[in-house]
Amino acid sequence: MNDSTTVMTNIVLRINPQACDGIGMCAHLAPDLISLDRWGYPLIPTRVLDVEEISQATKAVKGCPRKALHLSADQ
Amino acid sequence: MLVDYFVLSAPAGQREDYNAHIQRNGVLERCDRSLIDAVAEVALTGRGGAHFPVARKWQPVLEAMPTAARLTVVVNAAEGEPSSRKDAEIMRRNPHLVLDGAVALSQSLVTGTYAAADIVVWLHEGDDISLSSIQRAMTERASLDEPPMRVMLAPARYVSGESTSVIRAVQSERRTGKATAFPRFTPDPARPWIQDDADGNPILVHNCETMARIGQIARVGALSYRATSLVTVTTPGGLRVLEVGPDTTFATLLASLGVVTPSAVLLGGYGGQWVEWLRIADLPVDPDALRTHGLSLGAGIIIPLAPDECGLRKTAEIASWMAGQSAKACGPCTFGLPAVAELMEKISHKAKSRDLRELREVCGLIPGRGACRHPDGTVRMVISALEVFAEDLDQHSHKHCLAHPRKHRR
Repeated sequence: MNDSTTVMTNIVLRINPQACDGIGMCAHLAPDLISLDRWGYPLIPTRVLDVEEISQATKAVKGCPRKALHLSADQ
Repeated sequence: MLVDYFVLSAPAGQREDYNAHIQRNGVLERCDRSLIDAVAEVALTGRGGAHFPVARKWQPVLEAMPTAARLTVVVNAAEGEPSSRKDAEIMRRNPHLVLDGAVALSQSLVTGTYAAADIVVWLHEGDDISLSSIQRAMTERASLDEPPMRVMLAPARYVSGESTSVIRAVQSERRTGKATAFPRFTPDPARPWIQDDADGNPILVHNCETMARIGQIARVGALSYRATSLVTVTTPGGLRVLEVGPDTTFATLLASLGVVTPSAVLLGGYGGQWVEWLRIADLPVDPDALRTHGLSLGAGIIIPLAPDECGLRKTAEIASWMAGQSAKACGPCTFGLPAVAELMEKISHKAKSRDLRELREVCGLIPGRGACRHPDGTVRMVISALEVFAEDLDQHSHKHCLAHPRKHRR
């Protein structure tokens, strides 16, 4: 959906909090972007991501065992 | 004027059947798009608590309708909070006004040859009086040419009243025949108020009072609209529901109910905010006026702090109840609210600065991270308590309490 050619779009990282089980894989895969709170649940930045952040975020999205993360166009 | 009748036209304790209803309010004419303009003109806001402009909620529905086959209009009468009873009161006394609103709304929004509407009334399990009242109302108007109507029952807990829960239940019932009433994750937070189901058919949810107001606007038009507010006040004698005019102040309201002047009120209920009495006493009980003062009437819940009650203690009790009402679907709510409740409980006994610091930190970790607004409201209420009861917090740090000055707390 968000292929790398859509550089003009503002991309944000979103989480489905009901799908997330606090496994913490995302924080390992995107350490500059995601940290875990005291209960082990990820703190997701709400800002628009730059190109480098997008590549890290993509790893987290693909690596999430619960498929709780996704990239989406900011509105 | 203290008491004004726009929504609750039936006297307390009486149920208006269809004949009495049309005798008092008149027959509802078939509605068209002019209803949308009328609702926009009176700037009606949602009475479920969020006060979102109603007419604006209809824009995405209007955009979706030309290609949609069905519009589901839902009356949300699942009042989850023990300190709220206004919706139950409307359901018992004026069920036909609520159905009028839903009918008028579907008539004005559904266009196109193939589109149809259906009406769902969303009620808590065990709310038997409302259930029998609305079911009788549906039977009483069965012969009218109106969209099909039915009741759906929600599990009796707080988050069932979240509009996302309602939407999810309607969707899952269509798909599987069974309703699940967890709040639903909204993939597009910019448009939480309408959800297209798998077929692209919109589901529109309005609070029960909002729907009754739409019913009256459809009947009397924008010019005769009366900007009243329905409130539930907690009094020593139990909950009291009143419909008040926009010139009623909090001082007049409480005086009329014989409530002793409190030091603070919890405005908007368990997910609302504590407000010092001196700040609010002379303000009107009106959502628009309150908004200009940075306050929200929420779902019209007013809980005065009784003279012998400790605000911090009360806050701890409410926080604990709210933690218990979590659907336990999202981590920050499942783990965060019990942490908030436990710290608040400690602080209500002895306010140690370490616990206070931790409470503030935990409160900062919760808002905006759940699928619904349940955790956000709880945190807002707790933070407001720390501000409004700051003096008492200081007393509590020395194991004293303003509400019980002589008694040393254990």
